[in-house]
Amino acid sequence: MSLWVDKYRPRTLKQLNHSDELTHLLTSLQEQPRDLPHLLLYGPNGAGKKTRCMCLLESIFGGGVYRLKIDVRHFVTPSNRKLELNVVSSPYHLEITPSDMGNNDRIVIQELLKEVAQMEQVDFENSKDGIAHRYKCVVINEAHSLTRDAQAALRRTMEKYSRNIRLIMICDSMSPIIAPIRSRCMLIRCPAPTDDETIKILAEVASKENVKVESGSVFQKIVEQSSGNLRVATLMLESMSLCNEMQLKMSTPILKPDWMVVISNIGVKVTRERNVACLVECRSILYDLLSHCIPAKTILQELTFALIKDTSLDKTKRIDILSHASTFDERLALGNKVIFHLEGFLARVMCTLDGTS
Amino acid sequence: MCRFRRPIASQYTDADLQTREGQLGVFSLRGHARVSRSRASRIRGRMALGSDCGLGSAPAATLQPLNVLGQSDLFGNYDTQPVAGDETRIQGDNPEEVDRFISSSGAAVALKRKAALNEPAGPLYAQGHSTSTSWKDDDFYGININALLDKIEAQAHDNDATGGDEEEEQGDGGLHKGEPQAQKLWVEKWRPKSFVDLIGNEKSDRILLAWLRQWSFAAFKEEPPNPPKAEDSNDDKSVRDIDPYQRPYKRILLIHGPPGIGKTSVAHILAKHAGFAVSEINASDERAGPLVKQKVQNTLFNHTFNDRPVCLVADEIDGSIESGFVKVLLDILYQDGKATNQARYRNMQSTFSKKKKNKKTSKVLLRPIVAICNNLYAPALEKLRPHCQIISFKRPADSALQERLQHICKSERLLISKKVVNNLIDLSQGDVRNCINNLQFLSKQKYSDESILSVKSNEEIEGIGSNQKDTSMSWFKVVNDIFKKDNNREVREQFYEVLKNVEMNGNYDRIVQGCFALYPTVKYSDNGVKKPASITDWLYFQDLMHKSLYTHNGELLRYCPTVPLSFFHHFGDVANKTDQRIKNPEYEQREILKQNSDIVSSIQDGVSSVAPKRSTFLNQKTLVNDILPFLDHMLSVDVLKVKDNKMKVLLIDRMLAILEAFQLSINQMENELTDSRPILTIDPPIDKIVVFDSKKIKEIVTKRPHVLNLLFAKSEENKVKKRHIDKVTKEKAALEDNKYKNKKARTFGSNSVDFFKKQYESINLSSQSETGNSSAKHVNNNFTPGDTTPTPKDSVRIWVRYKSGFSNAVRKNVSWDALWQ
Repeated sequence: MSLWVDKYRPRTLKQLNHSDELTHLLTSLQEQPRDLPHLLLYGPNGAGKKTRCMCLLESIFGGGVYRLKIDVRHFVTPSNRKLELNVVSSPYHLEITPSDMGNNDRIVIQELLKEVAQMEQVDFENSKDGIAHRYKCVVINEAHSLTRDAQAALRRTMEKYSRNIRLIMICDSMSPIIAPIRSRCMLIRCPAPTDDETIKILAEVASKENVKVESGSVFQKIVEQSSGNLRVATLMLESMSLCNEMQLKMSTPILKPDWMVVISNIGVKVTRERNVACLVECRSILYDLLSHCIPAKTILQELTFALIKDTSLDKTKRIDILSHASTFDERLALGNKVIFHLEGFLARVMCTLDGTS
Repeated sequence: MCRFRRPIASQYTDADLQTREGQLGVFSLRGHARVSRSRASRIRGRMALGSDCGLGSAPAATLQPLNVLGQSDLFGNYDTQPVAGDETRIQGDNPEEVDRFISSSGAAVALKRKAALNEPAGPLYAQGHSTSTSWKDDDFYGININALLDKIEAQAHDNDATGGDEEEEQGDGGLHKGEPQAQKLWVEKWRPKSFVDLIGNEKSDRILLAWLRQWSFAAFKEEPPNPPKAEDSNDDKSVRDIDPYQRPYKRILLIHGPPGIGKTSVAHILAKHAGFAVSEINASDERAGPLVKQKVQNTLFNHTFNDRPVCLVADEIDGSIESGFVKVLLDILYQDGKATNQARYRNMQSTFSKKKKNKKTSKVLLRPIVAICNNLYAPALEKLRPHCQIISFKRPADSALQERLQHICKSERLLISKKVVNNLIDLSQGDVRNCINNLQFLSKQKYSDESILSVKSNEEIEGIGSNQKDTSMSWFKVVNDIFKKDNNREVREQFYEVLKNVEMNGNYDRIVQGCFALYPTVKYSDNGVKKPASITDWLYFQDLMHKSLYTHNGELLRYCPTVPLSFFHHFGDVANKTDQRIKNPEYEQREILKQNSDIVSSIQDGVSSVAPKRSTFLNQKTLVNDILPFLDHMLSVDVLKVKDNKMKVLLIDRMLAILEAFQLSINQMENELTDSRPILTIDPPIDKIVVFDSKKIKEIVTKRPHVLNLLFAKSEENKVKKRHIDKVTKEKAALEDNKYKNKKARTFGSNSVDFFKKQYESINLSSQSETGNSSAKHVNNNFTPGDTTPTPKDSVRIWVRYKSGFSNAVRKNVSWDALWQ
């Protein structure tokens, strides 16, 4: 038994319950498994990219893709440093996460992929149609964090060994993926579920788990707070129902992650008072957030949305805030010292709100 | 072999040679010794040490005048000429063309003598070498303090006589007599040349010398003097007694201390003093891998025709790239340890020649190694440290240093006041080298400008000092200065000063970080937060420039100093007068971040170890952003408030399931909020990552333990249940198995052995039922309900062992019936 997120996660293409158009596309892909192209799945968090990927694999290879094991692979960098990497693999595919490898992902990509690519698959009798496909799938999670070098290393491998290997890359954003790779892949966008779809899914889960729900608008509230993230929505549902003896009423408070609450508090603080003392306070909060493993980019994003939500703002100021946010997003990406830029953003926003800039 | 007391250096080898040929040398030898001792009493002052510490192996070979010089220049005596006694021996022993040497290993080697180099003995020299003290008689490692004092006195007299012309005495071959403007760096010129020249660290010097002396048996094949008790602890001594070569227990001597206090000089002088030839390896040499290995092996294990054994001085070994070199040393030590062990179990009373054989086959370290470093705790030295005897050198006492500097001034004819000298010492913080350098600098200035010849004014010294002060100006001082504006001075001038300070410090990253940390707390005038908003562009600039350190080899780093200038421009104010402490939350934040991400990855590992299927849908980001916060919510349900019992059970089960799914456990832990009272917490502590609210943090300590207590009890209960079920099923399985076996056995019932066994058992059974009062009883095995009529085979004898208390003393066998009564 595990979390509802895992429990009610679709395992096959047929079980997929939102974005039907996309499901249709995937079904048509699995009908000709021989011709599966390299795939690049992208879309927002909690939209079900990984779930879809696993469903597709399941439809091609059968239930064996869920027989996962973890083995430790060793790599040696040119500078003679030894690396260890956990590789999750089934008989039909393997998964790698480049962020586990840091700067050495190029070596891992090269060695691991070549090793897989140069081996013809023999054990395909368990797959659905026996002899149809002789390739192994490699799933690259968080492909957006692949370094340039690693992506360059991928380019040739993708073409040269396309007989034996198929890549499925999963990423939040396409922009860090270099154009040559994009052109080699079939790009599939996984959209976040619409609100109605989310409500439907939540209602289904709730009824299966015997959660008494007062009215449908409770789900509506959850959907609003989860901003299209199905994972967050489901987790929210579970934690709320656990905290309230499996009964959801209209008055039930929405549970949000603390870090989100903290960030929206910063937004409120900035709109209320604008001076150096406030800036100092915000700085310590920012440090706190950063040390709690919240990425600076997420902080900036949430902060921007929290600021814009303020209804008293006029249009031009909102646009200004957004433009500041994009400026500082760039700085975050190019620089190393995130605290400089986060605080700088706040200072700029304060100036904008004061109308002094 | 005959043993003899240690004679004069020159005669020692003579005797050695003779003893090899026969025993006839002994008498003449004793005669010499007696003569020399009587002479010693006469002219004790002149030079006791040259021969004494130069040690016996030196035959004063005419072929190598250099080495002879090396031996004797310790105390400023020159003996480029052969010893008188030696000369006579050569003439008496050999025809002119053959000369005999003792190699460093003690072997006699005959070499042809070049006629041209055969110089006649000087009378001065003979006098200088004729004194001697016996090794066994003194406890001062061969240094007779009286002799030393006398010598100094004599030197002083000489100085008076020659009008303070010291340069000749100092042994630069009378380079620039009477001309104080030396061509050489004073540091080199006034490098200590003998034991008496050393200042400070007297005790360390003696330890070093004693350590070197302990090698004399290994290196010179001579009996060491009685080891002084002060230096050797008992255990050390006992270990050394076992060592067949009587070397010190720790084979490497490590000297550490701040720069410029003469570590290298001491090592050189004392090694020479103890009779070794110095072979130095320092940072200027290639010290990586096989190259240095070759070199070290050569110096340590090969025999030279040099008359002295080598002492390896490894200078500056604390660099980060020196780990290769350290490894070489460690290899040598390891091999030495192995070889020594071998040697130890061989015949320990074996003669020298036999031991030599060992040495050829195995690598016994017979030469001392002295290592020198500044930082004892450098990472490169970590492995070497346990094998070393460590001596720390400290800055010499100011008075000693002052005396030395004044002596130098005097002999360089530099008139300088005591105060100035003291200033110099203060500025350099005991760095002798720096002092002498500055002194020379001062003297140069003086000679270029004759008018201020005699006394240096204080300011000038300060001028020299300020140069140094600038470089050591700490970054927080620089940062604090940036915010101080002086309206009385021109802005341009202050700009230059800030720029200079920043560039001198060079730690731009630190400085900007400090400015960033400090600017909200300093006073400045501003309209809203305009200034912080505009400084952020500069901070971005700094970030980009500093990043070039990693991408463009720091090419853009030179633009960094402009950022502190802009801080000065924006935030510099007259009101900022006092220095403020700069907190650095950046570091703290990084530490916490590291801890927290470790927690996250440990959770991730936990999940993937039990359920790889679920772990594929889990990455660090979703774990931190989405899952863990809600997980915390779910686990913080206050079950105690729930009235409905059924719901309570359901919730508890649910929570336990979640705990198990994420491999979280409930542990007793010390929390910093409660004073050392251990409370129940979830391990790994997800609350550390998730919870921000201070109220909630308190709740973790106050409220949650109660819930967790309940959960804990429940989970323990479940565990017990599970164990019980496991046990029962196992028992069942075992029983099944047993039955199956019995069946099998019955089918083979005709077996004769089995037959007899059965017979015996039936007899046994009947006899027991007759007696009836035995403590144990046969009980039918009733676990299998279907088996109502068990055969005698199925009956099992059950012993119930009753354990009362914890003690084994009261343990008795209790019958089945007794238990049920």
